[in-house]
Amino acid sequence: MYAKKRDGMKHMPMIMMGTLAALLFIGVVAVLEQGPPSVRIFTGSSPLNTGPLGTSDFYMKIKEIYPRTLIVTNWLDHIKLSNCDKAVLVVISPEEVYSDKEIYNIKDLASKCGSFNIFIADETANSSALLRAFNSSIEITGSIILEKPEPGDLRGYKVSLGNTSAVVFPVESLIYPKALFDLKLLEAGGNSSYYKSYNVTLDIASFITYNRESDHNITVIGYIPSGLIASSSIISPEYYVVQEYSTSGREYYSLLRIINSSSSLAQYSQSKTQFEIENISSLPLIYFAPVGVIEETRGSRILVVSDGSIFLNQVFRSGYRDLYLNLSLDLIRYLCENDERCVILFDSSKYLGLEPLEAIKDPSLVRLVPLYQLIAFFLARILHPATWLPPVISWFNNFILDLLRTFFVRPMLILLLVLIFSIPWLRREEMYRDKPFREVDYKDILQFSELVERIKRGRHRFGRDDFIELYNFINNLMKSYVNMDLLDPVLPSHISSRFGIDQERVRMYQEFMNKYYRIATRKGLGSFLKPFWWSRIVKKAALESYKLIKDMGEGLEKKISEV
Amino acid sequence: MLLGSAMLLISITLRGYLEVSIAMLTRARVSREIFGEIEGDDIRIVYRIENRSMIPILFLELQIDHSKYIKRKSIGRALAVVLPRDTLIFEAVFEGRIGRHRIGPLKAVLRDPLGLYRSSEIVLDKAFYLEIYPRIHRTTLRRIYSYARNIGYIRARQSGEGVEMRSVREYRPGDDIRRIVWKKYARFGRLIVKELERESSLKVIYILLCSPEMFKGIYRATPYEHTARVIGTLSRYLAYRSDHQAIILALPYMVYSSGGFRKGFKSYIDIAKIISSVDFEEVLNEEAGSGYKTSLDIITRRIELQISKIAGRERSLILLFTDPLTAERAELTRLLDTLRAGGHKLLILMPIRSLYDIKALKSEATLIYRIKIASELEREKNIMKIMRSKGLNPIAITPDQMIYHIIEKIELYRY
Repeated sequence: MYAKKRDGMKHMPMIMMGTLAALLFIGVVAVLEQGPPSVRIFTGSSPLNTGPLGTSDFYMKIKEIYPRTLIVTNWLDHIKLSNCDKAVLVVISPEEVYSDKEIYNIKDLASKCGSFNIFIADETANSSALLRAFNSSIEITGSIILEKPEPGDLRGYKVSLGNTSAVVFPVESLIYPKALFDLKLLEAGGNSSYYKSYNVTLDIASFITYNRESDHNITVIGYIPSGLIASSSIISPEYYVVQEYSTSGREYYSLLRIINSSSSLAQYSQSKTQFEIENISSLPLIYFAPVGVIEETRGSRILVVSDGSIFLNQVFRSGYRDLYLNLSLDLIRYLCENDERCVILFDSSKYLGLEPLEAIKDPSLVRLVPLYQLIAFFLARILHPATWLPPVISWFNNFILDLLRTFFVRPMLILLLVLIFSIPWLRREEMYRDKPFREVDYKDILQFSELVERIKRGRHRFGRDDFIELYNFINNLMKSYVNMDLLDPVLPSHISSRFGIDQERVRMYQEFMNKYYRIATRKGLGSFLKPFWWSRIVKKAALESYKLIKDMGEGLEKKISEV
Repeated sequence: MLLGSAMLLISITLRGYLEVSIAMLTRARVSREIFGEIEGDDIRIVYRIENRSMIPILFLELQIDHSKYIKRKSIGRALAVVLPRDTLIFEAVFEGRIGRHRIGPLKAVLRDPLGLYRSSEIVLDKAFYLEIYPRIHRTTLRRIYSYARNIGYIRARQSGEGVEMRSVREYRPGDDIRRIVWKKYARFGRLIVKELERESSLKVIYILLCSPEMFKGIYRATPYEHTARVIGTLSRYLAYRSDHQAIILALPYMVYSSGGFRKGFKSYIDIAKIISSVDFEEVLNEEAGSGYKTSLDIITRRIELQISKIAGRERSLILLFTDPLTAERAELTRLLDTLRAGGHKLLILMPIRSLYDIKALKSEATLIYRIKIASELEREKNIMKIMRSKGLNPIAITPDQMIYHIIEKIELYRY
């Protein structure tokens, strides 16, 4: 991430912040272009619906047993399956009819599988096209089978209809007929211990017809022992079934409707209020009405149950869970031929999805969808930039335009923008005091630096001892070089002749040195007569001594060069 | 508004340029060359800063940092422009001084053309150490050679192993039969053998025991530098005479040793290298100064250890260079006693440190200094007197000390 480092060197990031910001901007635009997440809430019997009317529990249970269970949300794309030996298509109460393209794709998929069985649980005619596509003679008519009331049924009201009295039953109380599913028939001879018989209550079951002349093997595994055939449009509080008996004692049923009243017939029976009644039609009584049929076509088994409601979550979450679940699993087991490798395609493509916002608007729908799912979907939609960014930009744009139209605000706004854009630049750099480089200067560290410094500045004071010291030094020097001491009267002439120095000068120097040496070394009472200006004397003596020594040296050098 | 925008644009542009310049400078190739390694010479450090980019590096301020104990003759700062694909040459010249000296780091600061922005200090080249060796005075050396009685193998005037014939004598059991003079046998009827003159070569160990005081003084005229020069010249002379040499350099923070005796020119190189491994910055820091007094015992014991490693049981001539203040310490007395007990011959050479500052003064001030320093000088002389009374016979080294006196002494030990 960083360029090569050296000690103290500034670290330069390889990816600049500007680049990162640009990439981020591109990402946001791409997300906007993609649009908000297409989250849809299903309220029907989709396996994606975890609400009471969904089939998610059924799907999960199948998935546990048959791991290769898939949810198909779209038949418009080709589905690729590997190792499709056995496959079962499960369709439960679709809310839309299948298009030709979808049926084509389903058939195409079926042709690629070893066996392709279909399980349809539908009380409407929405799956009829699918049945026809697989050459099935089974047809779900859409007519409903009402429960045949028994004599003395407490759900009925005794009413007077003209001259006769009759017992009437609200249609809504008869839409839960009891059916028998005898799965023992699925085995040869119908004597299996593996499959069982189930007595179940249906919820608005449709009447199934099939071609008895067909060469396909058709088996009715579920039927309602006796029921009344009616149109599905009569499921309304204003419709009633009238139970009458002929003189011969034969029972017959007809349908009547209460007109222009919101009250029920029960209220009528209590208040004796007059109602206008329309007698619509007679209701045919049917015995052994098929509600579960299996048809074996070429290469496919098609199982049709004319009621999808027995596979809903609300049933599986009720006290009758085991009964309905066992029935459901037995049916799937039959179609999968008890093979766990069976591929089960759970159709979820034909259900009407709702936008989360639409679902919230309708209180009746809210009850049908789990609250957590609703909130999660709603948040996903709300938080997506496509939801809030365009309005925010639009609002900001309008706001800026409004501000720019104001005379005083415009320059202030520009200044503010300049400041805002300057801050990142100013922040990036630490503030350094702009000082020049200081060069390293060498300075001698001396042994006696203080002394040397004082001598250099001429601030050193001298005393008597210093003069004696100087005298002794010069005396020793003379002894060494001319073999005479300073007291020797011949010294001036000797130095003069040897080094070419003025004799008188040497004599004066000798007198000066000897005079003050005597004073310095005076003892007894004379020591009190010492001068107080030794500093000046010593400085003068040092200067004269230096000059003499220097001249002696130069004189010697001159003589050597002459030689 | 136009003015504001223009200012902002200029500011951003300058800032951007500075950032780019910094990036280019950090990617520039920096190399250095060093010319010179002998004291007194001009030591030239040549830096080459190669701008490999197509962007000019303007307003580059350079500065070379270094130890404050080495004198720089050139200017240590520069303001430069490095053009694209161009190389900037920055040269720093130092006055060579014996020792190991820190040079660098080479620092740089960049500015934008209007001086609005300034970079932090960028280190272009790390600090390195420069080792400068003592200068051997060729003229002095030549004079020493002529002064010395012989060059090459030295005769000891004693019988022993050698190549030169000394005399003849009667055969004794154990004599090499190849030495029998058959002509004499034919003449006298007795076995006569040749007697050869023993060859002599010295085994010299230099011990330079330095207190921090030895590093104080005028540039290139401190007691240490003077002593190092003396040792350098001596070792060159003895190397020429094929003597065995070794050195122990004891500093307040470290004891260096050549590890064993060496002979010939290599021994001189080893000694010159060790003697030049003194880092003034380390020696002259306050901790080393205060630590020396307490650690002298440890230092002397390490010296003993090194001598036993170098010489073993052999007796050698030890030249101990130290200042009088160290010489009067009990630790040193103990060391000298140990060495004498080991049979080594000792020659103690002491730089009179009070005389070394005199070079900082001129004319009559030198005399005044002598007057004022007299008591200190006397003290040092007394230390030497005490040592003489112990039979150690020290030699005082003054700033003007001629090396001949030391050679004289060494040559005396040869026989």
